Amino acid sequence: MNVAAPIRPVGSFFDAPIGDLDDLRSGTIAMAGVYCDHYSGGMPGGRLAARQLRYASSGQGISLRTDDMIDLGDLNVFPLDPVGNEAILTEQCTRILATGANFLALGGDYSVSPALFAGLRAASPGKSIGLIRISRRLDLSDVFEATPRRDTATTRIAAQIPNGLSNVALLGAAGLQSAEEYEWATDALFAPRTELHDVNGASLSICRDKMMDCCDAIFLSVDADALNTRISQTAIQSDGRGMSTERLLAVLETLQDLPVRVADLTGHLPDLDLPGQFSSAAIAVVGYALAEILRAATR
Amino acid sequence: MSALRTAPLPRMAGDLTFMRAKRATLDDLRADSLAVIGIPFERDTIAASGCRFGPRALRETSVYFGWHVNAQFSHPVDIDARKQISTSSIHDRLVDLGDVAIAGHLPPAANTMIQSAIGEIHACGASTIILGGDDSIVAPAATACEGSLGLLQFGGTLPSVDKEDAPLGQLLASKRLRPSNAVVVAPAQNPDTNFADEFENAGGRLLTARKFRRLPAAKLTGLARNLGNSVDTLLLHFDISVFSAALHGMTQTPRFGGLTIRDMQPALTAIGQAPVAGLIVTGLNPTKNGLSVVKTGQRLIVTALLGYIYGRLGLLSSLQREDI
Repeated sequence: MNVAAPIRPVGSFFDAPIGDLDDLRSGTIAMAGVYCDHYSGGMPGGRLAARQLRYASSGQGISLRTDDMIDLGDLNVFPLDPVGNEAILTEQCTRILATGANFLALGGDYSVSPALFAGLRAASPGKSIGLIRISRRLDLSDVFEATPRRDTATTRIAAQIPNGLSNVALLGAAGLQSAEEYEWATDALFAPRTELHDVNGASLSICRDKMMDCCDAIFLSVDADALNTRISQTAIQSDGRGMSTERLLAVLETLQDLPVRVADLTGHLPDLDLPGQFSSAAIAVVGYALAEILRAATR
Repeated sequence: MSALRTAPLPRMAGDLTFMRAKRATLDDLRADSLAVIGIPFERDTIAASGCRFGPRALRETSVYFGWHVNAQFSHPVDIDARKQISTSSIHDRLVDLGDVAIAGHLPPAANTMIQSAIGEIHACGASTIILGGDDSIVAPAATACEGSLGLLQFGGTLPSVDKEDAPLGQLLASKRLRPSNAVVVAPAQNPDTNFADEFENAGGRLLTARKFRRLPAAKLTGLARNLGNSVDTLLLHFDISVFSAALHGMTQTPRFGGLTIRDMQPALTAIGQAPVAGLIVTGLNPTKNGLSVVKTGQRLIVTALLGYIYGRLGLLSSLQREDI
């Protein structure tokens, strides 16, 4: 039978091969969708991002390198059990990293980042791990004061790092006012959005060099709210002055030589109707840029 | 094999397949498979473009019917019949192949690709549900089928002076279809008098919506079975224009006096019991105004298709009433 019929299968991320844990090894980029937008407050919808990103990034006739990528499908989640949900996300992340593969999680809200970070921590015993987070917000609210899990992604990740915020770089924030409210946050590295217009600028260089020096493994978290609202709706009310896709890609390109083992792309609320195709396609481009960072980290 | 995932996914997570069916390739097809394939293609009519988004829109809507098809869900309960519906056999037999990779191709190349893809599916012995696209996909899909052809057309256009401006006209003019093997139900326009006379004199059947409503379901099943038994391949062309515009306006040819979901679902269920090789859904333009992606009309279409799927897979006995 001629199996070369012009049929495009139901999409995978970037038309990458579909597989499971047995297909992963060192040098592979494992990708999985995260169907979760239940625990961070704000507008729901991020749970549908993975499905739409698969649709937007496949069958476009664009030749992307995918021979070292595997689409694992979507991670298990527990929509009614926040503790169980975190535990299972952490466990799955750990199992993926244990194969030697690097991991790209696509979709979901920013409540998934701390759970996946815990997976990286469990898979990297004895190593110095750090966080680079690109987001319009700093998410530095106190875990106990804020509405559960709202605006606390950075705080909850920093709590898992022995060195605390000194291994954390926060890029693309709309302002630093909230950071100044927290004295304990001054250890973190900051490169606000206004200083990212020049990717060769001092702020970004300092963040990159410091993370390179102090971290053996890095978690790179990108929240779609860093982008201009014309590009992406996001999990909370977004800022019309956010970065363009081009600017974000330029920033990501500067991070290519860092030891990034896990990356996630959260906060994208896809419009399921036809106009939503454009924003999902733009976010998919960002997703592939993250995959290239993970690929570079394996070299 | 060690699996990453150890628990079921939430209902809407995962691949965007039709009704959450398993994704598949041609190699996975069996003779008893019911294969869903999208053909996102339309004529180059800029003013009315949008039908190429039909497959995606139907898949988006169909995920809300996933409990009929996906093994991770519990079996649905038919409230009217007061019994649980066993859907296990659907899980294996209804599969989604994806789309014919047709974007950007001109009609001649597109027709060749459609013929190739549909031909290969039917060569496996599987029957198909083809998600269009406008009705320009019907003729190449029908041409791909081997042997004598039968056609049941619901809604859609009819040939006028230029006999090749409608799929039925193309198939009749090319002698691929004999008029006596064609039945047209509730076309979206009044037939040209000359065509109607010529068609019916040659053995074709034209049923208006009013006539069709008077046809008992058993007689419709018999009609489809007889037609299916007298040809090698029976195709069912379900154009969305068959619905009344008051019910569903997302078609290029909205009309009043069409059929309702109460008419269509039993009809498709009855016809599904005949040896239909392929159901071709055309004419849905999701860019027309509606209530976002899960538009009421699209839900109704998928509801109608569900009846066809149950009929085609021989599961109607599971719907018979019993007390619990």
